[in-house]
Amino acid sequence: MEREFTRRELGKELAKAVLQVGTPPALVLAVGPRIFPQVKERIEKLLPFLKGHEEPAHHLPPPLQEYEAAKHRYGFGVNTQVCIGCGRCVRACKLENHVPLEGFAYRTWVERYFVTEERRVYADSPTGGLESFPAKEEMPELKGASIKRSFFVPKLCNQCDNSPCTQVCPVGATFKTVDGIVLVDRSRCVGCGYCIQTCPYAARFKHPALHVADKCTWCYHRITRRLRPACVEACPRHARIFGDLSDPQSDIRNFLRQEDIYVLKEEMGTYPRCFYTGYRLGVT
Amino acid sequence: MTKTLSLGLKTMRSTEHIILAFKIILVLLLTLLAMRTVTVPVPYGEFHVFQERTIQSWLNEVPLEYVGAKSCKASACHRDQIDLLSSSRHKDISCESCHAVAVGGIEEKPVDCMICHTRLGARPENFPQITKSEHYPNQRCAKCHDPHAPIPMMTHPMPVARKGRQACLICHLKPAGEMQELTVPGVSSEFEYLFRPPKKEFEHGGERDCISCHTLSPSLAELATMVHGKDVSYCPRCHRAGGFAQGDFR
Amino acid sequence: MEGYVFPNELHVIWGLTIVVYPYITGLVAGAFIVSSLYHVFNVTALKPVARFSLLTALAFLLICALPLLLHLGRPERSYEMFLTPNPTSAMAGFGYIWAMYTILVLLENWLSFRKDIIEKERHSKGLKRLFFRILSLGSDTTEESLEADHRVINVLAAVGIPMACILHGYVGFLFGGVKANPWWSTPLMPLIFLMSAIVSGIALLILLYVITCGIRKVEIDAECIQSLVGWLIGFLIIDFTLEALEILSMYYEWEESWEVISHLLAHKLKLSFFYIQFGLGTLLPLAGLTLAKATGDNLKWKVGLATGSSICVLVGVLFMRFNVVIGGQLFSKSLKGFIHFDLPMFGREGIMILTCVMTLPLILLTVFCWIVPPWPEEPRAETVAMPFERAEPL
Repeated sequence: MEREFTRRELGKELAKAVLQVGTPPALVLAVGPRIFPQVKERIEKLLPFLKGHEEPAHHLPPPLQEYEAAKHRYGFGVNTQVCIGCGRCVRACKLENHVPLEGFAYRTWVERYFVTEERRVYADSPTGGLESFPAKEEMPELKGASIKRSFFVPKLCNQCDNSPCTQVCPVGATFKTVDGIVLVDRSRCVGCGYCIQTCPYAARFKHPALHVADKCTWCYHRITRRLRPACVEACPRHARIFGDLSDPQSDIRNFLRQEDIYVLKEEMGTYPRCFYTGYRLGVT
Repeated sequence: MTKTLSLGLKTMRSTEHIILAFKIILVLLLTLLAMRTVTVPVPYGEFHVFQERTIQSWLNEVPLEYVGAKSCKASACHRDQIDLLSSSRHKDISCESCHAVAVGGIEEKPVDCMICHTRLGARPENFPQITKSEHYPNQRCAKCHDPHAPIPMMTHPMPVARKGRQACLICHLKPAGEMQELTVPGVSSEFEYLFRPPKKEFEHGGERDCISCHTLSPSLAELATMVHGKDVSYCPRCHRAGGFAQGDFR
Repeated sequence: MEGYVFPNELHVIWGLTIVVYPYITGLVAGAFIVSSLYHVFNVTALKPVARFSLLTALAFLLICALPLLLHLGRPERSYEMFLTPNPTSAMAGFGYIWAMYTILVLLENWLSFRKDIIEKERHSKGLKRLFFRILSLGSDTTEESLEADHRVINVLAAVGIPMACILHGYVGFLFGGVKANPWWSTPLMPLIFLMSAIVSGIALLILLYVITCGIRKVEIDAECIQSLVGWLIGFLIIDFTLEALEILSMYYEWEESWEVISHLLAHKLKLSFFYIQFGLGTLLPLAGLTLAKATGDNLKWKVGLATGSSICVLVGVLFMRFNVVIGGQLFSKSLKGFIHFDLPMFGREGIMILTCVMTLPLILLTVFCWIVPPWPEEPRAETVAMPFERAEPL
């Protein structure tokens, strides 16, 4: 049936359509803010697991009074020439951050590299260095090879300035703070694992108990109180250096005055904040 | 006179059911959007509210386990170990590195020395490392090396010091004038200098214990000046001021 | 574990559920493309499967979120991807793309079947009649309304092609954009995924068409099979070319990662890549389908070859997803070592539950076909149903 609309009829039709379509959302907008808090409370009471698992709060520090994140820019240094691979840092991190001891979850770990005379590079990291290292004779690939050099390389999250992990999180649960640390919001992470896949340094892992993404935070809860990260505390050799890049007298600024500073996987364009010195060929 | 507006509607006839379908979809979408506006405190693409909440949680709801060496050393307890440590080879190691923190307290038993001091090819050559099977494998490390003052020379482990002269001669074997042979097996030659004896047999005071003069003074330099006589300030430790005749010892 | 693997990489993060998910969305995209070939590009030979492929697309589309929910560490928070998506994340697009595409496919299905729904409404009583009336939104079959339906269907089919491409292409982009993984990181990845998706969709339709014709005891339309086989050959060649190009390019450039990738292909993935994906999934079907197209009148051979080749293609595409997803996690980002992957049988990401997930769409499809049979009326002896004729007044 052909219908010819007059302007007035068209206007009426449109108005009717808008009213039909717009009324339910308008109702929601009008009534929603009033009833939403009660609804939320009800749901939270009925479904406690939605809030996520909470660890028992024990010996919490006193609340931090004033912390101006904008005044700090943290950086980390690693001196592979002095690391002895004792693994105290790995253990300290696990204890400080309640990372499960089993389950292949490491916020920080130590690797050992072997460079042969022909410049082939081999590496190992048994249990991440947690129980130190066995003698090199136990590695089958090194049978018969003449080692030119071997050294230890501690690894941790680089808190990249252009981090791929913050780019790909579908819900924005991981983000970079103003003072330079990449944090994970445990109450919003859905555990999809995309960030774990995109980290070029394999610094992230799925928490075995919480089923969310987790990673080294440079002990954010410590550094904001002017303490040092647990791994830096525990290192007996000053192989790990932590400090505030905005403070010219800090350890990290002193460290960076050295000649041969490098970063890992520079070609990835992640602009890491963790700087290394020492032999670099083959270090991945 | 009414104007007929076709707007292309003439070509689409009887489209009411299609328009109804689109209306239903639109209502659903707009209602969901409205619900989101009510429940989520930030617009699309912004996360600052959640981020601030996370940061606050990290700042205030995370327990601290490690205390930090500064706090340990500032305390009034364990002063003797701390003082011993303060001038030893281990002075830069945090207390908690060896006395590892367990969740909820400090572990009493310190770590196995071999975690750091086993010989590994990847460890720097100038780092003291031994092959346990070649270096007194059946002894406890602490028999000769006080963990808070590990070099058994100037800074003495109390067990060794108390045993008197015989204990010193375990390492300081040869008489004066001869280059000390390393009597400590399994240690790299880097540390040879630690075992040089005094140039002269130190007859001073006869049967006096070594520790009477080689006291808990950690500095190598002090030892050197004492031996070479450049600094006489040590003498008054035993001799009263004014005379160096025999007798009259303190 | 062989060689050196970073301590956090000892387990595969994206397991079989992430193999099944692109497989399902691929089938959706492929089925929809077949239907759009008929509606938009007027490939009339595909008429018998046009509506059926729409139903297939819908059935698989409704299930495709299930493997993702099985995979998420915290599925109860999955709604956050709708509420607070991160605009820089490729994965965040899933919620909206999937929702819009579901609406589009639902709408197109509804418009295609509206006439049948109303017919069924007229011929049923009571609750069934009410059900169909609601389903038809109270509309009627006038010639003008049906013509309007037809135009809108064409528009939707045309708009749906890029949307189907995005629905499956974003998965490819998700992988292709991971610069940390050299096996995934390539601009060709969205195209590879899309082409293999279309291939799997067409193969699925051939298989389902033959099966449903067998169930209904109806003669298989040779022209339809011929056309489907032709399109399948074409897309299969393009798909193979893209995949071969990617590997050839990696070999020719011989970047640092080639050593570990060549070992991956030659040893860890030898069976699943060379024998199954390439041999069983590409070469064998190409030969079979070419033969099927070439056999002129012998319908039995044609259908037999086409069906057999389609099954091979479907298996091959599933293994292609496996090789990409699992294969990319078998080697370490240190480029120095490999891990081992054990196929889980039970558990959230196990084969048992994923088999159920894969059969669910088929069950849904059966239900849909039972509610609104998608095949055009065969001429029967007793009545001759004229198109658009009202059987009885409302």
